[in-house]
Amino acid sequence: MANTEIGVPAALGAKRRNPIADFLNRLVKTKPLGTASAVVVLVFFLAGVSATLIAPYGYNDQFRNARLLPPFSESTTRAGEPGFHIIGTDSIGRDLFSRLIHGARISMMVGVIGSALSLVISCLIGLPSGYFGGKFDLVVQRFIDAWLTFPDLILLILLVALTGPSLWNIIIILGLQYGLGGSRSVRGAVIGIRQNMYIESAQATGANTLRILLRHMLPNVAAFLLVLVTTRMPGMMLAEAGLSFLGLGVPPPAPSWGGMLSGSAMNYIYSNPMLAVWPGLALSIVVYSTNMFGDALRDLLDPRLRGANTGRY
Amino acid sequence: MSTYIIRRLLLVIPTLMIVTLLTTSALRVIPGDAVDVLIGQMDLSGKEDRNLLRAQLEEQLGIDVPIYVQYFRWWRELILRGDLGDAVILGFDVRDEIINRLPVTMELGVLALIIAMLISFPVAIYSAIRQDSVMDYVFRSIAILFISLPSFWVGIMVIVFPSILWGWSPELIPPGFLEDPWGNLRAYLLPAAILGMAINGVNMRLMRTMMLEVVREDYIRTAYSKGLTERVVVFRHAVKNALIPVITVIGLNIPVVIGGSVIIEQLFGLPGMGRLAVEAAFQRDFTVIIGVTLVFTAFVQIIILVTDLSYAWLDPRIRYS
Repeated sequence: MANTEIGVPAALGAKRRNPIADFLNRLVKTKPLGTASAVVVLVFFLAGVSATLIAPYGYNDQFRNARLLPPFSESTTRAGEPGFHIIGTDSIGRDLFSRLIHGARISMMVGVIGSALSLVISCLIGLPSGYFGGKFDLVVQRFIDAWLTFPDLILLILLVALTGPSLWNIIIILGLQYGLGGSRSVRGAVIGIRQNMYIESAQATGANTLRILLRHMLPNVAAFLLVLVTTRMPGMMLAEAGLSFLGLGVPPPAPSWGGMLSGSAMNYIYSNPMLAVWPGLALSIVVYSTNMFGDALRDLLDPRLRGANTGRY
Repeated sequence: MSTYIIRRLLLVIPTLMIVTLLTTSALRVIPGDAVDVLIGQMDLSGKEDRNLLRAQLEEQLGIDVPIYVQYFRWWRELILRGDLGDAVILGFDVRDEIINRLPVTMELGVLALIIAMLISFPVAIYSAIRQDSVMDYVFRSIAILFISLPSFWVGIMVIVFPSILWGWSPELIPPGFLEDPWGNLRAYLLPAAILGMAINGVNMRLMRTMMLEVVREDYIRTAYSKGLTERVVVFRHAVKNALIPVITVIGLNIPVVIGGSVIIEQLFGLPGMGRLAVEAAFQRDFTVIIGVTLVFTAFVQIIILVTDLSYAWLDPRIRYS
């Protein structure tokens, strides 16, 4: 009852209520698990954004005589200053904790930028395809059908093979892949609201197509899009990690969580199993929290999407 | 019905032609091709003329011609002699290699699907009947957990920790199915279970939603109202009618299984199609990439057709013409 708005009569309060505050209020009250997940995602997001500030060392800084140190051990930097490793060091003497934090940046970049890109692509294809229908829709949908039948990890591997592995290539490829998939859902949502009165009124008042698409269609599928993005994000992060694990993702020495589990790192795993535990654990926590949050968001905003396909690997 | 099947099968052909054309052109247009890998592997004294070497290699590989010539030559070889060419870097015959590797991926995928279905089908039915109960929430959270855990990490954990703690490690090289069927299945069980995990998570959610629709149908209410016990309603009415959603789900699972098998094969060292794709991608071995693309596309297209046909078989109301 700290919120004073709740005290005022409903009709009066509804007028002044901020939709975002209202939504957050609902989220905290009805979905405690979803809220907790959102906090976890936010923590990882902030860690990723400010990685260079909060990580004790750089992701590629090597320490003297510091290979495979256990947690809570000390060492010296190349400059002779003392170093402290809260969860130890990796096989070539780099601080694991710092690498994990920088890894959060890579995962978050893939998740956030990738889903933003996929959102744009989904809207660019889905809005007109759903709004105009007809031949245009038919041709576009057949193309997307063909694209979507292909196993996505195989397609990603082939595309990476063509373009070469790099962080931005991965982001663009994932954005494209998920964007085309999402355009199908956007199209469906648009077809659902196309018959509504307000679209007809907008047409009657002489609004041009672009205005109808952007000012009338887009805001009405916004909640749906938000849910779509949150349910796609974890899949992207997992796909990036999977590709990096195969050696086809973000190339070393960049500390991708998937990459930290691949190649030569595997040689030390039997003697230092915790080396493999940390990155996978971080990835699992982020992906699980994003999925839980996406689930809560979907229940609140768009019950139509219940059971929709989310990340897969 | 048979005309419908023939028409659908004929539609697969243009899809295959387009996909292979796109792959062929993309591989040609984007720089850094297999020829570079080949030159890189050669023992060069530094005196050779690289451009001449390149031209020779390109002629040998048949990629000194325009893309469309290369493309039609490839289809001619495939249609006339069933030949997919030789791998550029590794030298093996692509068709034979694919025939050798396909069973591995198939066995892995089928086992994974069976494991996933055995768990997710009963769970989905339970969740749908007892919607919003405590167990429903528990199952839904487990489903999200299954989707969220990266399979390669779970695989590493399962390989490493039992070996450190109890000195147990999974059998990594499966014996042939015909020589030792039990040993073969045992070796595949663990990778299949891990691959099945992600599919299981997806299916528990998808099937729960579909089951919810089934249990709200009129005939279920009728069955209840004429006094049948819950067990009879569930097993005689709901489960039977839930088979159509199951087929849909299996159809949706196939691409996921194929995609996921790449990582599992890499992890457990299984010589399947997914690993072949990764090896080819590393070396930009274009004949292998095109061959693998062709087989995967054809496979998925046929699975889609079979899924569609099985609807008509399961539900007499659906007819194709």
